[in-house]
Amino acid sequence: MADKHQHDEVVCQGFVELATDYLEGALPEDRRDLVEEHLVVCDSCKTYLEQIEATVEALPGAGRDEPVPDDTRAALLSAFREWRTER
Amino acid sequence: MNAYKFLRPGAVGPFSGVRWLPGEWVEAEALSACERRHLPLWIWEELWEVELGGVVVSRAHKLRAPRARLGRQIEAWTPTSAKAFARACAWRAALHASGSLRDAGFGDAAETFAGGGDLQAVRRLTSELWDELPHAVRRPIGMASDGASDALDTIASDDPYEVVRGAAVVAYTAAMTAQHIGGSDAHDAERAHQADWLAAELGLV
Amino acid sequence: MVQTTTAENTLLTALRNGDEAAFVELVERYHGPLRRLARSLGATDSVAEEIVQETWLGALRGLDGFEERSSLKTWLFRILTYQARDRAAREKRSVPFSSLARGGEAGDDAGSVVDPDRFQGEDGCWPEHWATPPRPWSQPHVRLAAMEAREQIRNALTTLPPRQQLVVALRDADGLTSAEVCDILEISEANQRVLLHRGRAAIRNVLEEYIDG
Repeated sequence: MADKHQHDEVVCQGFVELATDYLEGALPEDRRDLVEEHLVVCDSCKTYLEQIEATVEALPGAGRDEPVPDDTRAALLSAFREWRTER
Repeated sequence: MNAYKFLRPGAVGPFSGVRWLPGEWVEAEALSACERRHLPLWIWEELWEVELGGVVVSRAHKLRAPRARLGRQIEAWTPTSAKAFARACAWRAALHASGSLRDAGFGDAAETFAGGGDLQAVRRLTSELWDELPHAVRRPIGMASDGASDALDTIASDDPYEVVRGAAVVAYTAAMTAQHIGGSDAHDAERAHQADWLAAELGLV
Repeated sequence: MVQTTTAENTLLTALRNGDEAAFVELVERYHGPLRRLARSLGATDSVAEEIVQETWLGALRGLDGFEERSSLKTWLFRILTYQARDRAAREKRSVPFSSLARGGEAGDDAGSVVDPDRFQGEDGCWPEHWATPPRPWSQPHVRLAAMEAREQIRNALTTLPPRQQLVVALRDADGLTSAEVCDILEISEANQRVLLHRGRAAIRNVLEEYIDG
């Protein structure tokens, strides 16, 4: 029986491991071509890639805006003023 | 060498998202295009002739060049031709799988699979015979049946994206079914057959 | 070469001129990210606060020598990592990235980013293809901007293994470049990419569960 691996290709289980390498442009050209060939025929992997991209885009907004605690602010201001005078 | 490029509607690159302007040279580190033999691999909604400049590298699955410009759009590439291509590829998958059926003693079914008639028959027979099929035969039959299903969905669809994606999927299915039966050589021969089909259908030189 | 941003340039110049308002603005701008970095490096809340303070003091002391070969943010982050390391050394702990050069934590590089059960096995007609593919998220940008989704992402980030958390936070939340992150954490590009991918994929998995219900 013919072996599926005779033909070099990237399929889904392999693609999900390569998604970031692909987005970063870090794949060797042959591998990148195989990834793109796969994306032509695989909506599911396209979806996965889009979801990774959406996750990346959402991350900057996920940081909690932590206010500077009062005593930190006071300590830093005092240090700053000292630094300024000593310059 | 004649080169072609499949693009998204509005001449947009499917991976770069770049909008191509017909007649205007684009320069980049690596622009992609198809030779005729690559066409079945890169199917999208629009097909264009493309002129390449600079050092053109012929890779396994595409052409690469530092400069390119779109020529004329190949108007013959339409949802109708994509559907016809899907149907043709589904029959090719069934044809490749038919030998397994014959070898396993399902002669009548093999004839239907090889016959190129109604795709529903491929699906129906697969369902009916599934439990009886030897394990090793299930794979190519299942693949061909998937191809038939996808082709039928493609033919029934009004969505231009669904149609071209379906065509690409069924072409892939035919190639993989061929590979399963006959290895790399069969795979490559199937893809060559598909490229010839497209060239004939679209009047490509 | 990364330069300071325009707004940063203005603040930096003002700071060099002893402008207190500029200093306050910079402190407020970077307090959150710096604290997060300190926490990612293993510090408790109160220790993180101290490390961040030490970072600012170190920045003031070193300000005249800052040649702007990196962005101000990268420079501050780098100072913080030194502070965190020094502190850990004094307390006889190690920080998550000190072991990177030696191969790092177990689990960082092992395993798949998607449960193998979600792919067809050798028995299937299409081995290694999706068995249970991801369902498309309608309007992902809108959905993920929602408060609840941001909370999910925030929590998912904090539950990542420390090295993945560090890389994802620095690259994707704080917008540092690959080169900057490799420089600060002293890891290779390849290593950084593996950690980045694992972290992103893990967060995507959390979001998938959240969105699919």
